[in-house]
Amino acid sequence: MSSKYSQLPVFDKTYIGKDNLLKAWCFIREICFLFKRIQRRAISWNENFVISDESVTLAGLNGICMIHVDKMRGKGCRACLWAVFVVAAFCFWDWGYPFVLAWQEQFQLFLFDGPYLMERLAVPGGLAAYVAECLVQFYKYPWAGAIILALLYGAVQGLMWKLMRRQAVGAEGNGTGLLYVLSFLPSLTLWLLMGDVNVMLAYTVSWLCVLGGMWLYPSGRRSRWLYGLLCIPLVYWMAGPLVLFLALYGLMEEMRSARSWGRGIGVGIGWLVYACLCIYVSAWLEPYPLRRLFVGLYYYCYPDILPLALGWMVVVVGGLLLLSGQIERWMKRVRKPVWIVSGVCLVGLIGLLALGHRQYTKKALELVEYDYLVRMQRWQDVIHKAEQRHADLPMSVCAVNLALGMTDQLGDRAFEFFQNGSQGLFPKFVRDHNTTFLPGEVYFHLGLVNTAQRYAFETMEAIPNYNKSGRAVQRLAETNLVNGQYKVAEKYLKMLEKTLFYRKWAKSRLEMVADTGLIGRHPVYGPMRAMRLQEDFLFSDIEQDKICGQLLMQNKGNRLAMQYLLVYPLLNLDLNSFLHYYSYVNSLVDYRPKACQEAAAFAAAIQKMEVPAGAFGSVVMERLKRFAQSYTFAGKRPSQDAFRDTYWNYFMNKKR
Amino acid sequence: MKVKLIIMAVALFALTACREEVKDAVVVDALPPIFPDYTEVTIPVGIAPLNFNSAGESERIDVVVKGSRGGELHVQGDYAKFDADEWHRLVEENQGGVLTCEVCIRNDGCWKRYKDFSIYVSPYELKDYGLTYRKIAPGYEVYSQMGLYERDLGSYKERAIIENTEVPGMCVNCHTPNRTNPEQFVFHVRGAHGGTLVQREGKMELLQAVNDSLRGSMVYPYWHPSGRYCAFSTNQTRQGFHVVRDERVEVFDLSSDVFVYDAVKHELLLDTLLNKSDYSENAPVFSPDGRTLYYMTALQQHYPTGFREQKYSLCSIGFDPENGTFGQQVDTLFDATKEGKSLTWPRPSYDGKYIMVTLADYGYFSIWHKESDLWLIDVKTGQMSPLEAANSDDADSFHNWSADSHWFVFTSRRENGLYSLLYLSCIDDNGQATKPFLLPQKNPKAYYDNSVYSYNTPDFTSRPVKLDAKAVARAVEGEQRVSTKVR
Repeated sequence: MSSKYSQLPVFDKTYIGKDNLLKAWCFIREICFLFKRIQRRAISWNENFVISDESVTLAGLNGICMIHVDKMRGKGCRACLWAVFVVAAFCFWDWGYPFVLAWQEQFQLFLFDGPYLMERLAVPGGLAAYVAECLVQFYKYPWAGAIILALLYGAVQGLMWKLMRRQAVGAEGNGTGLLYVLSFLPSLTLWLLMGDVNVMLAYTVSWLCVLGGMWLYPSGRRSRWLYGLLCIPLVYWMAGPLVLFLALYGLMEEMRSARSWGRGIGVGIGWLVYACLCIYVSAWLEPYPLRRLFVGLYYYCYPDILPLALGWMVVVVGGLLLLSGQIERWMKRVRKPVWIVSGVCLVGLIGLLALGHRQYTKKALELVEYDYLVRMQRWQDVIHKAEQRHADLPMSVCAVNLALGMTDQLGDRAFEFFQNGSQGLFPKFVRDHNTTFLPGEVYFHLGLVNTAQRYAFETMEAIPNYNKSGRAVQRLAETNLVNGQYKVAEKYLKMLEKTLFYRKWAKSRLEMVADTGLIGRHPVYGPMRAMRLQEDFLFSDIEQDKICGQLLMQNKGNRLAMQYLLVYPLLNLDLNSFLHYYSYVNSLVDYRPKACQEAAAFAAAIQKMEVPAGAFGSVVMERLKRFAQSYTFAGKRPSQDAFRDTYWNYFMNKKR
Repeated sequence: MKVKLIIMAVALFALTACREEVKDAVVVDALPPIFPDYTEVTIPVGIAPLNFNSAGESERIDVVVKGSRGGELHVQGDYAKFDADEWHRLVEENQGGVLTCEVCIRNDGCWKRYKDFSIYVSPYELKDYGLTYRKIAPGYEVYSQMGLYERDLGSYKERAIIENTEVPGMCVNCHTPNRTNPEQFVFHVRGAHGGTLVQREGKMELLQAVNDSLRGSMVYPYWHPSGRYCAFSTNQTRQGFHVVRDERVEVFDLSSDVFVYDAVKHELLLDTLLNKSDYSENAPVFSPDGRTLYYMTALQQHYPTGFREQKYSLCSIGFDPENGTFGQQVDTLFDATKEGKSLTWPRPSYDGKYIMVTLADYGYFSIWHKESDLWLIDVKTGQMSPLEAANSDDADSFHNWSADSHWFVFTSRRENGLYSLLYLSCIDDNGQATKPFLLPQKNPKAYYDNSVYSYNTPDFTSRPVKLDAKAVARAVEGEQRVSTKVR
């Protein structure tokens, strides 16, 4: 190592010992230190910027790192960069977006049985889907999902690096640092694409299959023929229409190695036609239209749709493979390659952060996170999240109201948060799997077992790719247990018994089927049985206040129903019904939360309605007077800060 | 030759070696706990082997089937799995006779020998090739993967006629052949590309989903024996959802009427007697001679409150197939107001002797009614009697006759109360039904446990259905529809 680098943190193969976390931590600290020094331009760079085995220093963040190298041959450095990338991916998913993983997991039910496997193997792309679904089941524990994703990204990068190196310098050669850094781009693209929760993991697994197929592409002319003839249909059946990319790679390879361009193009186009033919023939065997087979059955959750964004993978992988030779030659001519690498890293980092920010801060992910928190019954976290940033999506509002209700705060704090009418308590049913789990949770906690069951069933049936749902089947089993439909419950539980992570739960519930007395003693199912309605009527989604009233009459201890009963008319500005319900509730229990007192005071003072004695306190009335003054003198726009959390503010805003 | 003999000897040894001798079996004075419950059922010659499993946990099952007229089968394994050829030979040999089944089940290393049970082989042949039906999850408003299927009754072979994967979002229902003739049928396509597909005389037509003169789309079809006409109802269908434990869904109509479609002229034949404003007429069917149209009708109630009062009666009106005109008089065969029950799904037997119906407490969508049962109306005497041997404590509903009218298929939720499965039963010359048997499967427990589908609208088919699903999908996705007009 030259003397000018003697003060730099140095890393080689031995630096991090096996499982030596302390050393790893020291290394990360040194990387950070180096990073800062680089920023201060405190170091100069060697011209020979190639990843080295002997003396390497690097820093990395989200896969784009600064690299300092002394000499050639840098397996250790590459491994280190790879490790940093994988760790970053793990941290991202496990700490940042575990709810996205949980979301994907809940829309599938991976069964360990022959028929399930055969069902998948029967269609093109089914094997990749089977493997992907097998992996996605681990998302039930987000840390496991994060590990899987990180390793998959790492595997994609590894294959990409091998392919790029082979393209640039041959299988045995060493690529430049830039080439290695660029080989992370496909993994990063996949990472970005997963910001759309509808992109299935099968897309990543399919890419791995195809990249693997490309890596195995032989060099001999005869073996290529044989390989193409056998592998194109095989890879098609394994990975779906991405096999077209394998055929495209064949075209590239033929053009590269053929004696004449004409011959190369001819053979290459032959592979493409052959791949298309495979897809075309499969359309006669499968109950799917040709266009669906061309866009893939398992890449995206919605059939018939393949977002253009998924095409970026084709562009990135294709572009890198086409240009890797050129890049390598160019890098060898450049006098100070380190600046190029630094520039690329910087631009990549900025681009990545910009795109990542766009991809991972979408409103849709807000719903995903609220859904996850509600599923986990982390009510305080729901409220905390809404306190940080107002939830204004219909489902988010629903989640916040449910969390307030479950923590007995709805009557007091409902109007501290954004409200969108009674839809915020009971969102309208939409035939869409994204928005049916959450309302189902509301009905479940209210004790409307049949409605919760319906929502679970509808959610499962609405999954566009025809998957079943572990979460929904779990809820179906529960509701059937509560309703005493033991045979149906048993059917669902036996399905869950064939899974890896629902098995234990299913077994415990099967014990309840065998001994139904256990259901009554269960802390959730027992009370729920008592909460159920006894008198039949057809559910109405425009009179849910009356249903809440029925629930409360059925079970006076149903606090959630009580809160929903009172807040429902308030959200609909129906003070008459509210006063009626308020007096009924107070005949059962002394319950005078802030919002109810405000509404009662408002009804009495402003609307001149008859209000029961003691319906509101003097403090509330005083505040109402101040609100009225402010409203009158401030041109009907009272100070937002002073009265933002009041029912009056909500009422007047809605009226306007 | 030597090699062949050795192979045969090895195979024989392997076979016998696999079979364990049932020793020291404890005798149990009860019928064996098997799934499906095939004890004392009646089957036709040609039916696929009635393989069965132990209903509970078991290590092994040993079954000996002896025919009253000769023949014997002996199987042992995880479940009773009969060789198809041997089974068919045995059943054929014992037509009109009895198969006696001796069942031993091993659990915890101990064999138990249960009471023998009989399987009766009906003297009435079931000449139809198979069944057609729809498979769909028993959901509410949303549906996932589903389709129309055909099943060979002599084997376990099931084939999709068309599945909704062909056109995303498509729903197909009510596949109705003309008296089990697969060359003439109709089914509906719902969804963004809706329509009614009619196949007759080798020609496929896709009718427009809604005719402006009707208040809804074409629903619940039934062919005229001539093949020229098809009776339909048109319904403003809605769903309601019960809130108590044993009830789930109520399918009801805000209004419905009955009409006949002339497939030659593409005309809709309406009549004021079949379109009364206060009444909802529904589910029309033709008599086997084609001169009477049966339908059900009820005084329309207010929904969602009056759903328990909507009770359907069975009526009939004359029909002149030559001119396509209706009679002037409506006869009531079953008066719901008098009987206190609601009648639905009338299906005349093709021999003209009976009309099989479903009775429920109210409404007409009986599969969601636990109390619904099958009844038989004697056309000559007008007498009604329940098909007690066929009925169960759960919903027994939609039914259709075999071509010779000695067998019928129906859906029942008796297995678990939600997923409707197919059962076949026989009617003797005195109108008595036999204990029905569940549609056989190769490994019934595994099959039905794994299935997430309900079977709907089953019917017999005399031959395999020939339908180019791809062509149908293209037609459905296309814009072209045959328009209909009211005569």
